[in-house]
Amino acid sequence: MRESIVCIGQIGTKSYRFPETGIQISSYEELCYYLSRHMVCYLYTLPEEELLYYIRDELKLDKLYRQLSKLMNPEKEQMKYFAALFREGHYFSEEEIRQILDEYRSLKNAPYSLQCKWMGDLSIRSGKSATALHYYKEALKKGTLDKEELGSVYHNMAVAKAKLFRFQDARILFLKAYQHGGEEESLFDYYSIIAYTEGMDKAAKELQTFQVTDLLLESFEERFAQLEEDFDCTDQAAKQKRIQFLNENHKEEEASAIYDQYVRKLQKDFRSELELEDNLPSLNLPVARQKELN
Amino acid sequence: MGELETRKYAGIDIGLTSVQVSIYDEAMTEMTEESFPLNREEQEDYIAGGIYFVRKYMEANHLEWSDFQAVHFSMEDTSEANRNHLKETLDASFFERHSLCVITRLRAFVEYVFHQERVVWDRSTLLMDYEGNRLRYILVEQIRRAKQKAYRASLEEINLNSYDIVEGDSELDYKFSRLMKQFLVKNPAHIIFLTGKGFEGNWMKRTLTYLCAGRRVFMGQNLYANGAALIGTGSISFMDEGMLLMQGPDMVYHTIGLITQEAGRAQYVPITSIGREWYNTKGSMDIILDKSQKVEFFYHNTKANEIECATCEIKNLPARPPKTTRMHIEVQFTSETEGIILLKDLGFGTMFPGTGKVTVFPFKLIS
Repeated sequence: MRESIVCIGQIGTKSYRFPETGIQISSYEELCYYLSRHMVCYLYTLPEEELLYYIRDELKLDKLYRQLSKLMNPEKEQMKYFAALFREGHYFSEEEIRQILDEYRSLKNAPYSLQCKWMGDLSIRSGKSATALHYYKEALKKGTLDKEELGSVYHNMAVAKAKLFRFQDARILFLKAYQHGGEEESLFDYYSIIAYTEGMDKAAKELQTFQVTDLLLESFEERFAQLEEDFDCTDQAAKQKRIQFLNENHKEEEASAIYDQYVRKLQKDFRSELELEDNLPSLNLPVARQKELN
Repeated sequence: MGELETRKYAGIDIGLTSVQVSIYDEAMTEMTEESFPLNREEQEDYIAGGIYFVRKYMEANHLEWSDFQAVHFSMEDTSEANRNHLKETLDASFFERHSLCVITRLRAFVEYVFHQERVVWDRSTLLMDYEGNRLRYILVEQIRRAKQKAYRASLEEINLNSYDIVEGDSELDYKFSRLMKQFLVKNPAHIIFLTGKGFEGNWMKRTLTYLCAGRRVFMGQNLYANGAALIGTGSISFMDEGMLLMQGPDMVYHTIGLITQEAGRAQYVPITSIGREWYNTKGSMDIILDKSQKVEFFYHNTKANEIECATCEIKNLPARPPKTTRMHIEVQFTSETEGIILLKDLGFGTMFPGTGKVTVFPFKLIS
């Protein structure tokens, strides 16, 4: 006999966006699914109060709202909060709930540096480069990460820096990542960032200091060429080509208008992240208190 | 000071020989009842004839369709052709405010009974409808006396020829009272309603004496219309909970549902309820697909207390992790024992967008 999972509550007319990841949910079942996969975000905190109002007003789960409202102390009631939330509906079986809470417990008991690394990984996956950098810096503070983990942290920090247009910082971090982790991927990204900013010849020259084989260098060149080819098919590349074409055909005014529009779009897309990087210390992101660190 | 607005609910019973209108006004202690007999000519198209009288009645009383919170129709013959004809006969002003809801007379009477105080329906209640030398009866009885009570309403017809009963006969009262004695021994009832032209004409003497002995007897011509009017005020909780089995034409006595896990135990969750006509029975529910793309439906025959299972396989859905496909299930009946289940892929919000693909799963129930 196959059992079905009957949905509870309503589908919200508008969705709720989790600030940590930018992921949106609009039903109780989506909420359960999201939280079970992002418990790492709530090691020192709980979901914000707005979520409770969303549960009450949009999902029409008044009983759950009242229950969770009483469990808002992140220091004492995290377990109770999530247990109450998952047990309200039929989305998870009792066994699954126990498993999620056990995993949550082990996340909470993990070393602080690792917790910060996981948060950094999650932030970078969610496109939040500045936040990721904050967590990676926190992860490096205690110096308890092993070589492999260090390599991974430096690599992701480099990716985050590159996304924030800090190419010089990214270059150094890719190098550090390769030195600690020894991953070929870090070396390739190091090569790519030089190739992108200073040209392929300079990149090849730089790589020679690592005594890489000709075969590896050739494969890097091919991969980079492929990346350039892929970029050629994007809207951004099309815009760049159009600006170049207009300039070459003495239509500088039109080219300038498109260029300005293009720059404004890029500024709009990246400004918030760039500004966030400068303001991170004042943002009070959830990390362990000093007492817990010691 | 302005007059306080109260809600009005209308019930209209369309019979072959007459039409009845009942209006329930929240501010009034009693229903407004009106009956219009149809002449031979009008009886040829009794639906149009009936609606004509309803319109005239509304005009005379300065009433518009929009004055009513709800309007329900009960009909002697609820065939699809008649339901469609009624739809054609009603004007656009009706559909501006209401949608057409037709119910059987069985349902109308049951609605009337269960909208009364508990004493009227808690024990056996009987309706006798005598017209054109045909005696039909509806018996409402309690079939489960446990904490969660259940009731059954059945519509039957007594063949009067076998009792040598003929309308207008000088011995009608004597023969009818004998029939009642035999009938009530088999079907004890504490409250009896009498309706139909056959009971008119002051011929009942012995019959009434017998019927009234230890019972409460009511007589009226607007019972069906009253029941139809009362539907608008709210549904019967027994019907919503599937505790009212209705045995009669057009009535659905199967529930269609799913098995789910509640507090660690498997539990049957009905999507549709029993006790309504098949064309008024609908249900919907959202579920989440687990690892497989299959849904098991359970059909519960409440009359025979049997359960049948059918598996619906949903094909060509995009690959998604387990528990990230929300399906909207909608059950529609096309007859008392047949219908379709529509399953729409809603996906899982923005994380796994839905395709909107609809799977049609027809069903045929064991009768």
